[in-house]
Amino acid sequence: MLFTVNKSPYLHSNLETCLRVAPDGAPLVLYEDGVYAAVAGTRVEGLVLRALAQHPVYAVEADLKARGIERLIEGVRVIDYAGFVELVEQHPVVPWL
Amino acid sequence: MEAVEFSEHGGHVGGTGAAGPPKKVLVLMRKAPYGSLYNWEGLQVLLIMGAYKMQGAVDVAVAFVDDGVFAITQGQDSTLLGVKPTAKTYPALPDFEIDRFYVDDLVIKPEPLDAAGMARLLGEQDAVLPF
Repeated sequence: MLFTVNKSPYLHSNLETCLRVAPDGAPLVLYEDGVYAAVAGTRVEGLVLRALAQHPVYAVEADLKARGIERLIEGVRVIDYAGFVELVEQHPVVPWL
Repeated sequence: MEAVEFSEHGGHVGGTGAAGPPKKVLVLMRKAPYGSLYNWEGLQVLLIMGAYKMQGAVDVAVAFVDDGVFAITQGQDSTLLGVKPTAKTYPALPDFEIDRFYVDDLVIKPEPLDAAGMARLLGEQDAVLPF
């Protein structure tokens, strides 16, 4: 199962609840405002670091660039739209909107 | 359910200098840019409010709180998204007479405003427009 999160982790609890139910090893894609979770040094960094211990975590390049995000938490993998599509093809998608 | 009834001679926001002091309006930005249209719409309202300010009808300020502060971070490049880079419009706002900016000091430091300061600012307004 591929989990996708597109909401800011500061105003919404999507990421938190998603990680509560996502089984070990399930990949997580952060896109749109969800990419703010991938920024290093924020108050959700601990949550993302714990997630990284159990899941591959991806962030979409176009959304990172649009928001001027450069400093990512180590371990978060940057993907382009083609990479996103590839993941979607490989897994059943659970959109955690 | 019925619609609210409006008086035929209903009131209006602002008014001219002759009708009293300018109404104080605060555009309150709490959402991140690009993920939704809130931020973009708030920016449009600011530009419109600038026109009213030039007529002396309103006194406009803008405050960035919560995720709203992400609207004014540097280095934004929305080329890959194919949408306009809203961040580039903010520095031009003083040209539209919008020159009072407030930023939540929890997130960004340049012109900080603590919680008490924010409460005071909110209390001073005739209208708060949230985005």
